[in-house]
Amino acid sequence: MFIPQNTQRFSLMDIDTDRQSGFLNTLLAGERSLASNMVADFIREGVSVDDIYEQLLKSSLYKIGVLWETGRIGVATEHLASAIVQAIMNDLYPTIAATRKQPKTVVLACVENEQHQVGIKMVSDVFELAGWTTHFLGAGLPTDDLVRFMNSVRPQVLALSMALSFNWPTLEKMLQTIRRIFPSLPILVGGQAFGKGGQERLLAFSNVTYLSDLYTLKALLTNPASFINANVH
Amino acid sequence: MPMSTNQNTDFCIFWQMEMQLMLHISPSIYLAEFSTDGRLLHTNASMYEWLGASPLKSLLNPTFEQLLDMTAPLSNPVYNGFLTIGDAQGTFISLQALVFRKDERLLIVGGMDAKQLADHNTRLSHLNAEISNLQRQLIREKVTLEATYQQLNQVNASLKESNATKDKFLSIMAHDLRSPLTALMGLSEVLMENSDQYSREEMNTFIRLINEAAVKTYRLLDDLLVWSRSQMGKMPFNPGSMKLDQLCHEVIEVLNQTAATKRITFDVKVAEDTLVFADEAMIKTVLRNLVSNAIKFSWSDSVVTIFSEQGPSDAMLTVGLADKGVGMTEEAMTKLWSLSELLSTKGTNNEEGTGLGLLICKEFVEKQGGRIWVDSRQGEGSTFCFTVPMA
Repeated sequence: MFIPQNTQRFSLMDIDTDRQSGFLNTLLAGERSLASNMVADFIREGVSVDDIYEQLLKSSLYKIGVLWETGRIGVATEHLASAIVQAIMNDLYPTIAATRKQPKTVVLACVENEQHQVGIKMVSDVFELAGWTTHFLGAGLPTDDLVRFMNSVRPQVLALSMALSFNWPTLEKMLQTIRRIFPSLPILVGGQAFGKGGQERLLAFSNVTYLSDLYTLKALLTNPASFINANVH
Repeated sequence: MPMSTNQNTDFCIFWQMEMQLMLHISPSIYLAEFSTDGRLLHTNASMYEWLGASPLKSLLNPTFEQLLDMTAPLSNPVYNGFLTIGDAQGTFISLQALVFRKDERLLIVGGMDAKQLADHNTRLSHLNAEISNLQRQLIREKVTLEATYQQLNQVNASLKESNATKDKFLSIMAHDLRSPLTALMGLSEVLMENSDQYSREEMNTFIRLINEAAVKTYRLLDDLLVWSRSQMGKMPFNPGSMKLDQLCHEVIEVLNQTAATKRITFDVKVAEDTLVFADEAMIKTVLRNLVSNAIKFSWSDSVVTIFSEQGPSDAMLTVGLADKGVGMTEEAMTKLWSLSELLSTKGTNNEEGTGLGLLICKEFVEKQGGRIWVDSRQGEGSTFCFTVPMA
């Protein structure tokens, strides 16, 4: 496993906590238009997509996860917030999709059975903003289908997301399968599940990079050779 | 395991007070009691919110009248199913409901099927994710289509412009060819029909005029061929290092006889060791055209100066040809380099040209990484300059 040492923040500006709270409350109230307008305001103010993803969308969804864990909201509210966040990401997507692409390909997917796809979608967008051609396969994809697809597009990198820690055994099984078929393919992993530890379980796999946040990914993408060639156990 | 009937009785007696409170305040339990004559006797807070000011009309499906017609054995519900309540013109909900009838009273107990709700919520959430991904795919395809459309528009505009330019060019060329060919036809016709009527001297004049018209036509076609090959990228381009002063003298030697007819002399101010990196055929064509133009537009007994100086960058050399002649207006200068403005002006001795020479110069100079321009004053003369890489 490779854990990037250079975790300096690639943030252009900080979003203050009052506005973060305001956005969170808007999501909890299910106000899609209001939430979109708030994000549009941030874009007009020059806040980067990375900062909006990391400091606003991801931060709010993590807080919503905590609210669910502490019994303050139900799963329906969480689903609603997630739907609004994905709608906002699609608002921003035309600009992201128009980025000039280079001949570098990444395949992105959730761990098999994992249904939380917002995080890996954000990772996909950061790749796309860095000029990569992305194949976002979303949630609930069986490993066999993932392998079949990778055989057809031959990506330079695979990125996997895991939000729930009870999916650890599934992730390990997937990594074993993929490593057997693609012995040297760089694999990036991340997601909310890693916040609760367990990263040492990745030590069993070569050329697997754990990403703690989008800024770390952005830093890595400025020098892809740093992780594409990394093979640290 | 679910409770037995006895256990249920004990459970209800034990938790009676709490059950009463729960029935009153729980947002997921909906309670209402009606008299059979349609009066709302009791309701809890959650049901009251939906029944509003007209409780009977708020029972949408089944209606109050339909419920009254239903029968069942004592203590069994007269209705077990979804009950839709609310405002038919506004919002309404479907409760999982049981309706009991005892004497002249109806009891409605409703609630939500949490399992069904959770199941629907999960399915809708997945459906939303699918739609979101699909929308993203559509956005991506739209962006690609827009980019392709933009490229097509650019290519289309460029093709239209190119086609229009070629049309105009052909029209001009046809016009320019017509004039010498008309002369050829007219003169040869005169000779064919009346050759025995003319003196030898007159015959010589006709033959000279025919030759001039043929030479003009040939030059025009030759220039056209060179320009056309250059446009199609068929001109060989083999740049190399060569001495500029030597090139100048070779070109002057070829045109010296023409210059002598107007007693024009040349002053070559190019250092002997000045080396340029150019295609020999191209740079000679450029120099030949510019020297030829200088002779054409210079007054008799004047001097044409050819000079060179380093610049505008360390790697480039500027070559200039200055004449003392008719010069040109600002307007004429702007039309020199445009195919659509192609024009040929007669020289100081009525010399004629094709109008293509400067266009060919521009093509060849730019092909070698340089640029060409002119500085001129009407009645004083012109200075043509071009840049070329230094060796």
